[in-house]
Amino acid sequence: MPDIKRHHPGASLSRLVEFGNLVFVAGTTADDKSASCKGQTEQVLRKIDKVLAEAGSDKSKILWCNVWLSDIREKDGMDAAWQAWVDANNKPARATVEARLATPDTRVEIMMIAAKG
Amino acid sequence: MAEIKRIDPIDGKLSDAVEHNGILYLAGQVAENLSVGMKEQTQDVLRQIDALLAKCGSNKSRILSATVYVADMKLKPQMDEAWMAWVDRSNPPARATVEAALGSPDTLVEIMCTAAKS
Repeated sequence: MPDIKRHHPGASLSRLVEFGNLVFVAGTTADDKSASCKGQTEQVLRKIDKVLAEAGSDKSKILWCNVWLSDIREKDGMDAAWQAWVDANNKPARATVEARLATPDTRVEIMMIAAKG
Repeated sequence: MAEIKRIDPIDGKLSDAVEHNGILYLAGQVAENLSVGMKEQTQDVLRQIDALLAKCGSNKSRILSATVYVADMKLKPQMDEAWMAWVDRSNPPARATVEAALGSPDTLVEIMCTAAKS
Protein backbone atom coordinates (compact mmCIF):
# COMPACT_ATOMS: atom_id res chain seq x y z
CA MET A 1 0.00 0.00 0.00
CA PRO A 2 1.63 3.31 -1.01
CA ASP A 3 1.96 6.11 1.54
CA ILE A 4 -0.31 9.12 1.53
CA LYS A 5 1.63 12.38 1.31
CA ARG A 6 -0.12 15.63 2.16
CA HIS A 7 1.10 18.96 0.82
CA HIS A 8 0.43 22.23 2.69
CA PRO A 9 -1.75 20.65 5.37
CA GLY A 10 -3.89 23.23 7.14
CA ALA A 11 -6.40 23.14 9.96
CA SER A 12 -9.13 21.78 7.75
CA LEU A 13 -7.57 20.52 4.53
CA SER A 14 -4.43 19.87 2.49
CA ARG A 15 -3.85 21.77 -0.77
CA LEU A 16 -2.83 18.54 -2.48
CA VAL A 17 -2.71 14.88 -1.51
CA GLU A 18 -0.46 12.31 -3.20
CA PHE A 19 -1.34 8.63 -3.24
CA GLY A 20 0.52 6.20 -5.47
CA ASN A 21 0.74 7.82 -8.87
CA LEU A 22 -2.30 10.02 -8.32
CA VAL A 23 -2.55 13.53 -6.91
CA PHE A 24 -5.77 15.07 -5.59
CA VAL A 25 -5.90 18.87 -5.68
CA ALA A 26 -8.18 20.62 -3.18
CA GLY A 27 -10.79 23.12 -4.34
CA THR A 28 -8.72 26.16 -5.32
CA THR A 29 -9.95 29.76 -5.42
CA ALA A 30 -8.33 33.08 -6.41
CA ASP A 31 -6.43 35.23 -3.91
CA ASP A 32 -7.64 38.49 -5.48
CA LYS A 33 -11.41 38.17 -5.35
CA SER A 34 -11.94 41.60 -6.95
CA ALA A 35 -11.02 40.11 -10.34
CA SER A 36 -13.56 39.00 -12.96
CA CYS A 37 -14.46 35.36 -13.48
CA LYS A 38 -11.77 35.17 -16.20
CA GLY A 39 -9.20 36.89 -13.98
CA GLN A 40 -10.02 34.68 -10.99
CA THR A 41 -9.77 31.57 -13.21
CA GLU A 42 -6.31 32.68 -14.41
CA GLN A 43 -5.20 33.05 -10.78
CA VAL A 44 -6.62 29.65 -9.85
CA LEU A 45 -4.88 27.94 -12.77
CA ARG A 46 -1.53 29.56 -11.81
CA LYS A 47 -1.95 28.27 -8.25
CA ILE A 48 -2.80 24.80 -9.54
CA ASP A 49 0.28 24.81 -11.84
CA LYS A 50 2.43 25.55 -8.79
CA VAL A 51 0.99 22.89 -6.52
CA LEU A 52 1.06 20.25 -9.30
CA ALA A 53 4.74 21.05 -9.94
CA GLU A 54 5.54 20.58 -6.24
CA ALA A 55 4.07 17.08 -6.44
CA GLY A 56 5.90 16.14 -9.65
CA SER A 57 2.89 16.54 -11.91
CA ASP A 58 1.78 19.12 -14.45
CA LYS A 59 -1.30 20.19 -16.41
CA SER A 60 -0.68 17.62 -19.18
CA LYS A 61 -1.42 14.87 -16.62
CA ILE A 62 -4.79 16.11 -15.34
CA LEU A 63 -7.39 13.33 -15.47
CA TRP A 64 -10.56 14.75 -13.98
CA CYS A 65 -11.67 18.24 -13.16
CA ASN A 66 -14.64 19.88 -11.42
CA VAL A 67 -15.31 23.57 -12.04
CA TRP A 68 -17.81 25.43 -9.86
CA LEU A 69 -18.96 28.93 -10.83
CA SER A 70 -20.97 31.29 -8.65
CA ASP A 71 -22.85 32.37 -11.80
CA ILE A 72 -23.07 29.95 -14.73
CA ARG A 73 -23.61 32.93 -17.04
CA GLU A 74 -19.93 33.74 -16.54
CA LYS A 75 -18.86 30.37 -17.98
CA ASP A 76 -17.46 32.03 -21.14
CA GLY A 77 -14.99 34.01 -19.02
CA MET A 78 -13.83 30.86 -17.24
CA ASP A 79 -13.60 29.00 -20.57
CA ALA A 80 -11.48 31.76 -22.14
CA ALA A 81 -8.90 31.45 -19.34
CA TRP A 82 -9.15 27.65 -19.43
CA GLN A 83 -8.64 27.43 -23.21
CA ALA A 84 -5.57 29.65 -23.05
CA TRP A 85 -4.10 27.42 -20.33
CA VAL A 86 -5.13 23.81 -20.99
CA ASP A 87 -2.63 21.51 -22.75
CA ALA A 88 -4.32 21.18 -26.16
CA ASN A 89 -3.11 17.59 -26.55
CA ASN A 90 -4.06 16.49 -23.03
CA LYS A 91 -7.47 17.71 -22.02
CA PRO A 92 -9.02 16.28 -18.88
CA ALA A 93 -12.60 15.06 -18.43
CA ARG A 94 -14.40 18.04 -16.91
CA ALA A 95 -17.77 19.18 -15.59
CA THR A 96 -18.83 22.76 -14.87
CA VAL A 97 -21.83 23.69 -12.76
CA GLU A 98 -23.04 26.64 -10.72
CA ALA A 99 -22.83 26.49 -6.95
CA ARG A 100 -22.86 28.92 -4.05
CA LEU A 101 -19.19 29.30 -3.12
CA ALA A 102 -17.46 30.12 0.16
CA THR A 103 -17.70 33.93 -0.06
CA PRO A 104 -19.98 36.15 -2.18
CA ASP A 105 -17.03 37.46 -4.26
CA THR A 106 -15.63 34.01 -5.06
CA ARG A 107 -16.56 33.47 -8.71
CA VAL A 108 -14.80 30.19 -9.46
CA GLU A 109 -13.43 27.15 -7.62
CA ILE A 110 -11.59 24.27 -9.32
CA MET A 111 -10.80 20.80 -7.95
CA MET A 112 -8.98 18.03 -9.82
CA ILE A 113 -7.29 14.64 -9.93
CA ALA A 114 -4.04 14.24 -11.86
CA ALA A 115 -1.44 11.56 -12.48
CA LYS A 116 2.17 12.12 -11.47
CA GLY A 117 5.59 10.84 -12.45
CA MET B 1 4.52 6.00 -15.12
CA ALA B 2 1.13 4.63 -16.12
CA GLU B 3 -0.02 5.84 -19.52
CA ILE B 4 -2.84 8.39 -19.78
CA LYS B 5 -5.28 7.76 -22.63
CA ARG B 6 -7.73 10.48 -23.63
CA ILE B 7 -10.96 9.56 -25.41
CA ASP B 8 -12.92 11.92 -27.67
CA PRO B 9 -11.36 15.31 -26.97
CA ILE B 10 -14.05 17.97 -27.45
CA ASP B 11 -13.69 21.39 -29.15
CA GLY B 12 -10.39 22.32 -27.57
CA LYS B 13 -11.64 22.23 -23.98
CA LEU B 14 -11.89 18.78 -22.49
CA SER B 15 -11.97 15.04 -23.12
CA ASP B 16 -15.10 12.91 -22.87
CA ALA B 17 -13.16 10.30 -20.90
CA VAL B 18 -9.65 9.79 -19.56
CA GLU B 19 -8.10 6.43 -18.73
CA HIS B 20 -5.27 6.00 -16.22
CA ASN B 21 -4.07 2.96 -14.31
CA GLY B 22 -7.23 0.92 -14.99
CA ILE B 23 -9.60 3.71 -13.92
CA LEU B 24 -11.84 5.69 -16.27
CA TYR B 25 -12.73 9.29 -15.47
CA LEU B 26 -15.78 10.44 -17.43
CA ALA B 27 -16.61 14.07 -18.12
CA GLY B 28 -19.98 15.42 -17.05
CA GLN B 29 -22.55 14.12 -19.55
CA VAL B 30 -25.70 16.02 -20.47
CA ALA B 31 -28.62 14.99 -22.71
CA GLU B 32 -28.36 15.57 -26.44
CA ASN B 33 -32.06 16.44 -26.55
CA LEU B 34 -32.65 19.15 -23.96
CA SER B 35 -36.29 19.75 -24.90
CA VAL B 36 -37.55 16.78 -22.88
CA GLY B 37 -38.28 16.20 -19.18
CA MET B 38 -36.00 15.05 -16.37
CA LYS B 39 -36.68 11.33 -16.79
CA GLU B 40 -36.00 11.40 -20.54
CA GLN B 41 -32.89 13.57 -20.15
CA THR B 42 -31.55 11.16 -17.53
CA GLN B 43 -32.22 8.19 -19.85
CA ASP B 44 -30.37 10.06 -22.62
CA VAL B 45 -27.39 10.75 -20.31
CA LEU B 46 -27.27 7.12 -19.14
CA ARG B 47 -27.29 5.89 -22.76
CA GLN B 48 -24.32 8.15 -23.44
CA ILE B 49 -22.51 6.85 -20.36
CA ASP B 50 -23.17 3.26 -21.51
CA ALA B 51 -21.74 4.06 -24.94
CA LEU B 52 -18.72 5.84 -23.53
CA LEU B 53 -17.98 3.03 -21.07
CA ALA B 54 -18.32 0.43 -23.87
CA LYS B 55 -15.92 2.42 -26.03
CA CYS B 56 -13.41 2.41 -23.14
CA GLY B 57 -13.75 -1.31 -22.35
CA SER B 58 -15.97 -1.03 -19.30
CA ASN B 59 -19.67 -1.16 -18.44
CA LYS B 60 -22.14 0.09 -15.85
CA SER B 61 -21.41 -2.80 -13.47
CA ARG B 62 -17.88 -1.35 -13.07
CA ILE B 63 -18.88 2.22 -12.10
CA LEU B 64 -17.16 3.26 -8.88
CA SER B 65 -18.64 6.68 -8.16
CA ALA B 66 -21.22 8.98 -9.70
CA THR B 67 -21.98 12.64 -9.07
CA VAL B 68 -25.43 13.66 -10.25
CA TYR B 69 -26.19 17.37 -10.65
CA VAL B 70 -29.87 18.21 -10.99
CA ALA B 71 -31.17 21.66 -11.93
CA ASP B 72 -34.10 21.32 -9.53
CA MET B 73 -34.05 18.98 -6.55
CA LYS B 74 -37.84 18.63 -6.82
CA LEU B 75 -37.23 16.67 -10.04
CA LYS B 76 -34.93 14.16 -8.32
CA PRO B 77 -37.65 11.43 -8.21
CA GLN B 78 -37.81 11.46 -12.02
CA MET B 79 -34.03 11.20 -12.27
CA ASP B 80 -34.12 8.35 -9.76
CA GLU B 81 -36.77 6.54 -11.76
CA ALA B 82 -34.54 6.49 -14.84
CA TRP B 83 -31.48 5.66 -12.71
CA MET B 84 -33.20 2.74 -10.91
CA ALA B 85 -34.35 1.24 -14.21
CA TRP B 86 -30.78 1.45 -15.50
CA VAL B 87 -28.40 0.77 -12.64
CA ASP B 88 -26.92 -2.71 -12.19
CA ARG B 89 -28.71 -3.76 -8.99
CA SER B 90 -25.86 -6.10 -8.03
CA ASN B 91 -23.26 -3.36 -8.52
CA PRO B 92 -24.59 0.05 -7.52
CA PRO B 93 -21.89 2.77 -7.39
CA ALA B 94 -21.26 5.29 -4.62
CA ARG B 95 -23.45 8.21 -5.69
CA ALA B 96 -24.13 11.77 -4.62
CA THR B 97 -26.89 14.04 -5.95
CA VAL B 98 -26.84 17.82 -5.51
CA GLU B 99 -28.74 20.72 -7.02
CA ALA B 100 -26.79 23.08 -9.25
CA ALA B 101 -27.47 25.45 -12.13
CA LEU B 102 -26.17 23.65 -15.21
CA GLY B 103 -24.63 24.73 -18.54
CA SER B 104 -27.88 26.02 -20.06
CA PRO B 105 -31.31 26.78 -18.58
CA ASP B 106 -32.89 23.75 -20.31
CA THR B 107 -30.24 21.30 -19.03
CA LEU B 108 -31.95 19.41 -16.19
CA VAL B 109 -29.31 16.82 -15.29
CA GLU B 110 -25.56 16.24 -15.64
CA ILE B 111 -23.78 13.08 -14.49
CA MET B 112 -20.05 12.61 -13.91
CA CYS B 113 -18.60 9.21 -13.01
CA THR B 114 -15.51 7.11 -12.48
CA ALA B 115 -15.32 3.42 -13.43
CA ALA B 116 -12.88 0.55 -13.36
CA LYS B 117 -11.94 -1.02 -16.69
CA SER B 118 -13.25 -4.55 -17.25
